[in-house]
Amino acid sequence: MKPTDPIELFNQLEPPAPNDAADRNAAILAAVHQHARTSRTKRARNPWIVGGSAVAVVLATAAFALVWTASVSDPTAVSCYETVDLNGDLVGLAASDDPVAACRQLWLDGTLGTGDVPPLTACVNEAGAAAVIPAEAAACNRLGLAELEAGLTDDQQAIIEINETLIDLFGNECFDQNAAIAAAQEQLNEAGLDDWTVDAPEPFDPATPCAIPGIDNDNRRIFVIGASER
Amino acid sequence: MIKFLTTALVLTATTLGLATTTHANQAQPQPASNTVANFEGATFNMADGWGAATACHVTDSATTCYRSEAAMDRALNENAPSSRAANCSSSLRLYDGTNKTGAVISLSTRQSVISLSAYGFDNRTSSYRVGACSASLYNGLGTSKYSGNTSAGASANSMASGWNNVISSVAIA
Repeated sequence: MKPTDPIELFNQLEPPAPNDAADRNAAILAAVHQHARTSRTKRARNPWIVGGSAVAVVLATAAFALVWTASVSDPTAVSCYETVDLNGDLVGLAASDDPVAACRQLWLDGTLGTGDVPPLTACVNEAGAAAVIPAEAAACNRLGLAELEAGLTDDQQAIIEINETLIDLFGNECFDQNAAIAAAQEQLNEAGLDDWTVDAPEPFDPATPCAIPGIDNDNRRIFVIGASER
Repeated sequence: MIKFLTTALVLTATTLGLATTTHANQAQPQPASNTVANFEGATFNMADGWGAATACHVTDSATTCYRSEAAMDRALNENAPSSRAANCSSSLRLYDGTNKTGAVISLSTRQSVISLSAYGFDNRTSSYRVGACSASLYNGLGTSKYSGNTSAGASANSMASGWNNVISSVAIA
């Protein structure tokens, strides 16, 4: 046999078994399906990887911006501190919708210090009231306090208004115990503060016949006590 | 609420390309040129935005901004108190220590019962000085009145027996 004879060479080829072509096709089809599954899996995982990375980046970035803030739960008081020391000297003010401005006035008039007004920051103290300290904003969190979120709720604003109205009323005219309770209740009704109550914790005596008001914020209560005539 | 949550949301939105503007455009007057304004003890350039300020008072010599119009109105109203409650001309001073030592709280709001817990001064008073207006000190919230001398100008280097560190509220006449 001549190795170059094409006829001979063709005849020497082993003919394929009848099922080989089918097996090969099946294998090819399986490989294609497997590739497709793998590709789909990879494509499905990619958004998670991207999303997770984005969240990780965001959280890592946000950690640098972590600031604990809160609004007041007791709107009736503002503490103006002379130093960055919660055990230090302070001036106690009545309610204000701008505690920083209220305390700043005390720096301007020399009550809390002289010279340039330092940066002032409003925090929320352990009682839930505003406490303004002479420091940058980050000082609140360093003291273990939340930084104050500006603004009061409608109910808080209403109770401050009621207290001021009662101070005006009782300051201009002597209200006895019953009249004072009725006046306070009327104010609550007008403001729609149904969950607040009014009482006189102790009966007025003849030496203190005229009412002055107080706010028990924790118990959502207005109370009146007797004071001397004015 | 934790502010960082907001920050995180903004950053997330920015990361995902969803946020193009984080501040709503506000109808704030724009100064003709860079104007430095005072705001809560600091200064800022109004041309860069007002930040937390919402109302500003401009004069020939200075510009002062405030968080609210009400705050500006109060500041412009000379000597206006932060509330309608009247103030005594000199304050009642309560001291944490005897002999008027230690931390002191000064109070001058008249005609209402002042709870000391809101100021972190509940059950701390060991001595006091009364200002120009007589005062009443109480063990409770307007109850159980202190029996010592608290008339105008009075002072004490220590409390009456049984009254040390028990004052919870005061009222200034």
